[in-house]
Amino acid sequence: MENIPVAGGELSSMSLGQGPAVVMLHGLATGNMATWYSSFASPLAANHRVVLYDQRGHGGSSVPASGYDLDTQADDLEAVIAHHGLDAEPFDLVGHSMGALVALHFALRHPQQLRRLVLVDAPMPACEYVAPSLKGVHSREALAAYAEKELSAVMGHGGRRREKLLNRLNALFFESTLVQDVLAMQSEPEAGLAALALPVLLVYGRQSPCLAVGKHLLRVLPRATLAQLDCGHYIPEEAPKALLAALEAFLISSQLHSSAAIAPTAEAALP
Amino acid sequence: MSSHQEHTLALVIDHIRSTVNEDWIADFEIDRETRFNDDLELESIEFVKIAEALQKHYGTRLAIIDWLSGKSIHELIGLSVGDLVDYIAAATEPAQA
Repeated sequence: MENIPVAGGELSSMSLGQGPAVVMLHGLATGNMATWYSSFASPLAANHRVVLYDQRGHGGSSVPASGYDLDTQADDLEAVIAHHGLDAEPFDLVGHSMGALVALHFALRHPQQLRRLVLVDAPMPACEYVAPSLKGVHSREALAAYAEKELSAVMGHGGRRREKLLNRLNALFFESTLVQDVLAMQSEPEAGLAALALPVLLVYGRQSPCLAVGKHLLRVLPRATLAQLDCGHYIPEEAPKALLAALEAFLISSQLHSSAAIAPTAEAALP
Repeated sequence: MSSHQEHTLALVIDHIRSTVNEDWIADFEIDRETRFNDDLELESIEFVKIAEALQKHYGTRLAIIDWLSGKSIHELIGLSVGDLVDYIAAATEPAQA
């Protein structure tokens, strides 16, 4: 485990395996390196170098008072890339939920640094898809209720784990700019999306409230493929085997434009 | 238990205590039967940190991610300390004369 200094704090990070690099970004609130570690990063590390990190305010990283906007979080990603020496050649980038928004923001800023991009249930714009569930949370009690209702990873958590998660969320919600930063997150500009020349795999849950976003991105992004899986928004937890299969097919199969081999549920982008 | 297993158990327990690094864990009795989930109530990220610290300790003598590969984090958290010790002890068994 390594610590990487960033604006206002430091991020916990690790690298597994050898080969072409893949960087994986977890989702908001309950996400951290454990989202990817055993189910995804370990198998992919058989033929990739997989870089994981806890985003600001998550896991073993510090909880800075600000900087949860996509610009700063893309800066954080740049710091992680520089730390691991990945800036020499293009790498693959995978993100779930808020991590997917950071990944997409980074891709639009530095397309030349990427080989391929995977967006797993990206909730764009977050001001519409994420913020409503955060808005009513004004007290620790409301936070506990939010955690039970919204965060699948909390279910079944015992006393200590629940307490630790609530303490971290308490700092994120009430002692940082997280909520206001998410409220301010708009969609990426259509012109930028339409000009993104990278192969992009979109993976969305058929029962996810974000599925419409995936269908929209499929239309706008020039080289996108959409794989729909039988699950909701928390795809890494709900459908780990199907997600791993889709990732392996996309990341290993190729530099090919067509991704027909991806998954039986994949829909090819219209030309 | 062989002395190799006892030594491995002591090392794993040390890594658990230093990773959790909270007052209660210093006095908490940990043995082979202790479960990461039910007894220690570890967070998944804490399990990841322990696994990585052990990997770092053993270096190339151990390929802990190969063993963890494909298991869900919930399965891992459901393991006992003895499960982890048995894997590491077997993988790092000193060569017999």
